[in-house]
Amino acid sequence: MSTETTDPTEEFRENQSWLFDTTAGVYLRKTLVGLVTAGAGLFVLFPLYWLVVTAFKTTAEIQQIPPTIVPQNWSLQGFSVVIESSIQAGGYQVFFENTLGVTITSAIDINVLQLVFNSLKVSVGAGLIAVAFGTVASYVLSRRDFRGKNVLMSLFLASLMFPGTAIMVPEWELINMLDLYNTHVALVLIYGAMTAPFVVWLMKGFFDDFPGSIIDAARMDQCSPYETFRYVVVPMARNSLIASFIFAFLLAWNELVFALTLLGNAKYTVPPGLLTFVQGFNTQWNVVAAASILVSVPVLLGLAYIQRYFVQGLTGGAIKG
Amino acid sequence: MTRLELEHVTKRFDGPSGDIVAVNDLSLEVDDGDFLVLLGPSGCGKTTTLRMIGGLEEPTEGDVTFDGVRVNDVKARNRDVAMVFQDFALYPHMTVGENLGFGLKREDNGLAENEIDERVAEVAEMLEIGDLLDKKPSSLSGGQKQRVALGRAIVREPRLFLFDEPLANLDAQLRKTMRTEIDELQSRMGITSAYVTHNQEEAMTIADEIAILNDGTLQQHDTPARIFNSPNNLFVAQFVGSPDMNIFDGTMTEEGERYRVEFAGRSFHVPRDLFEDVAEDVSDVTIGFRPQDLFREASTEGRQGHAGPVIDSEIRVIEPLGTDAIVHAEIDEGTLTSTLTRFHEIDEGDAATFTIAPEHIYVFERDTERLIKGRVDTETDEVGAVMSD
Amino acid sequence: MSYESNAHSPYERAIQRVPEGLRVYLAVLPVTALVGLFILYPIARAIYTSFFERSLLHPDQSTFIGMGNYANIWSSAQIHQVIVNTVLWVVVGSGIAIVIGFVLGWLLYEKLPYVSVASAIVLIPWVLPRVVGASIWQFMFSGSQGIINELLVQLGVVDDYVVMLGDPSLSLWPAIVGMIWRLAPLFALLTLTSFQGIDEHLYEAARMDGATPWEAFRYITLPLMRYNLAIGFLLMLIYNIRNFSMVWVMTKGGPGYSSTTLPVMIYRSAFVDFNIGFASALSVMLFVVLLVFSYYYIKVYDRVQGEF
Repeated sequence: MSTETTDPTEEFRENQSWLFDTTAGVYLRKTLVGLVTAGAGLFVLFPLYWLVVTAFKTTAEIQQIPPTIVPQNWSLQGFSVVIESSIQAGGYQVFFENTLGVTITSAIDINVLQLVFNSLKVSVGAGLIAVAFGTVASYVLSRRDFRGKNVLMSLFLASLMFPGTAIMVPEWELINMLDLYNTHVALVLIYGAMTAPFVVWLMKGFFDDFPGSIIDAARMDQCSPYETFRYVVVPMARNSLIASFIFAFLLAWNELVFALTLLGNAKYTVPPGLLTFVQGFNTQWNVVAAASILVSVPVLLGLAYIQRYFVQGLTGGAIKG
Repeated sequence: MTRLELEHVTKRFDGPSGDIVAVNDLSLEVDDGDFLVLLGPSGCGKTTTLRMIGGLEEPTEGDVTFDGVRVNDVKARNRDVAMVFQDFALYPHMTVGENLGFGLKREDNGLAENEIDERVAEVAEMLEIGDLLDKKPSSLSGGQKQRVALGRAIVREPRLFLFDEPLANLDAQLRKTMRTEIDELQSRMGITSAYVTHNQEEAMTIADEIAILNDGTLQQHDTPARIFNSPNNLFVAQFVGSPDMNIFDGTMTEEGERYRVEFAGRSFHVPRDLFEDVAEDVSDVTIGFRPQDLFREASTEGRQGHAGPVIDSEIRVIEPLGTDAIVHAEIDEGTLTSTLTRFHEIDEGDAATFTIAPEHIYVFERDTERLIKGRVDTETDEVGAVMSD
Repeated sequence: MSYESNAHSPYERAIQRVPEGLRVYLAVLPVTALVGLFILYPIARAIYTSFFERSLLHPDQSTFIGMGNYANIWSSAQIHQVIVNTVLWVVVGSGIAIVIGFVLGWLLYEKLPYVSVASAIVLIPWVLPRVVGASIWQFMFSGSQGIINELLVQLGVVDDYVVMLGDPSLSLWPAIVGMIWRLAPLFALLTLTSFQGIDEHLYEAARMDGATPWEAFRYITLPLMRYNLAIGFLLMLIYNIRNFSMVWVMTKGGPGYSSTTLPVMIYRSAFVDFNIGFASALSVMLFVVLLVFSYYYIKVYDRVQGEF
């Protein structure tokens, strides 16, 4: 080297990047990353934290100004109001008074447990329909070629984009026409229709990757097509089938628009019921938060299972996890 | 057991631009207990043939028969054949034991649960996978998976074993052990087998008989020795043997009781009786000889023994393989490849003289690529006599 | 040795009686029928109803008025507000959600430990029942008890608590924030998955080729992720434009029409004003937009997947 530098490693120091190769740059970068992480984390997590602590505050503490970041005294008041109002709305208060000696007088009677039960009914029904219909179709769509296949797949993909708000009015007309207004069957069918395309895409992705030689091996092992499906394909597809079911279940559990427009108060599922609850109790946010947490439990359990399939399911298989 | 026959079997698939003929008018017979290897480059139709034997594909034309019974429309599951797949195709949701017993349970064989377990245990013992019975396939090594796949086929004692490149997914060392093992198992059980591979060395080692396919057409069906020494045509000759055969254009003229063969500016004589049905007017031929048959002469002068051609060359590359080396040498007309054991005496750039015994030279008609003179094994003085029973 | 068929099950024998060519259609029939009746038919039905004057209270009485409902939309006093709201909602909401989501996805991939646990936590906002998510934000934005007001006062941004949800000039923004909170995790997961799909060796090769981390990101990561990002972008647009619950829970579209987006407008027209014909015409507007998005979605999908 011609210059008077004494550092023998100088020639390796070309193409330097200030941000990555200088001490100041590295510190700046680390600080920025730290700040961004903290900011993004706070944005995502704080509302969840707030939901939880609110549920454990007393009504009195909720109404304090300014709000407390950590509850002064942890209380189950919110949860007990939810349970009590459920019992009262369900007409069980006499039973409780007689057997347990507990008197229940709730200001508002909304039966959260009944909402949960209704939602379970609708969501399980929709999930089963979607998985049963969707799986059979996806198996064929994956393994066979036939006229109209691409049109059908595009149609299913497009129909994923439409449901909900765009068709609430004609759906209301249709359900009235079918004489299904204010029935859970209506929701089971609609949610089934909304999620079956999800299942088709998710399961098709699975079957596309299914090794053909396994099917051949089963044929060699003297399986009829039905036995191949029953003893080889379905057990291997178990995880994907469960994931599909949970996807359908979650969508049905969370859906507001159709539940709101196609059911009367008495038949409400969780989302419209909770909405009424929010409006009834919006000075007692601890009660709302407690109810919110209770109805979110199934969702969080489901999330743990489907996380692996999440992206593939949401994008209709466009992106595989 | 089973004598397998294919009679004029043709298989066509719909392709984007018309039909694709995967197998073209193939006829084969495999005697009871024989081990047939279907050998050929990829896409030659060998796997399709195997799948037609197994019932996974139906022939477009022609018949597949087992012991003279036509089985074309018999479904795979009713044929009582077992197959070992290239990717093993083990059921991932079943344990090794369940994998082995699955076929037996499906079969209408009147076996009780514990009899099945017994047979599974027996086979597992034989293949030394007895301690793996409760494991899932995902926790096994490649070699272990291969044994389970073999076991799954063996346990059913089928009429036929089919192997679809069963060793392709294993590493080189394992491939050698497993191929010996498969060979032994098959001989012990005496079950007629068909085995697909594109590896000629594997085929030569394992086969009782080899069927070589190219573009869906049968090139030759013969013993390994005859395939090697008297290949039907240039394709077969080039496909078997390693390193690749040396090929040169040449001419041939009749001189009384012998033929005078010329190539690369050298000429030599071959007795007429080493040739088979030479057409009247053949003069353009293709000459081939194997690198193993080419050896070095100390000098052009004073050589003894045979009257083979002598070729002067310059050594270009020496690829040592341990005990011997592959030597590439240049002559005016192209490159010579030879395998030499005493390669330490020579160096790249040296001049070297090679020679070859006329018995070892293959001659093909240039137009038809048909063989007119095969390699005669010097020890026996008769084409392919060593191996032909 | 005989080779008789061993169709053990009655199902199988039943299936075998159906001609081969029809079996595939038999298999896709249930889904197609379900989707056809409950999703495709309503779309057609909305187009049809949009040409009639029809009230929710007397759905059997309707008068054909041609383009009348569309003309009413054009001349309605609120439509301009609704369109502006919807565009703001979609553009700002999607834009910020994408930026935050991308950063979150990158952090998950690069910086945070326990990826699967972390990404499950990040996903919670997305999977929570919409009403729950919306009511959390409603509470956080509420006038006197809201933590956000407290924060703003502490930071000195405002002097006193502001009733944001009740102020026509502000009421849309809390819902947008809530929607970003719900959608960003989704984009984060797409980003994470895309990062994970890129072969590590490419980065090593790039480093050997002298690329700085930034250059590796710019010339390797981004180009390889472009289709996935396009998919994510379109999903953001689609989820945003069809969202109803966030606005409805937080403000019911008010005060007045100040926070009403197109879906909320459809709901209000049909189930508050009982004007189904008008609501159907609005639905048709929404279809057109969704159709455009779906078209591009399928196009990008084709690029990613080749043939279906």
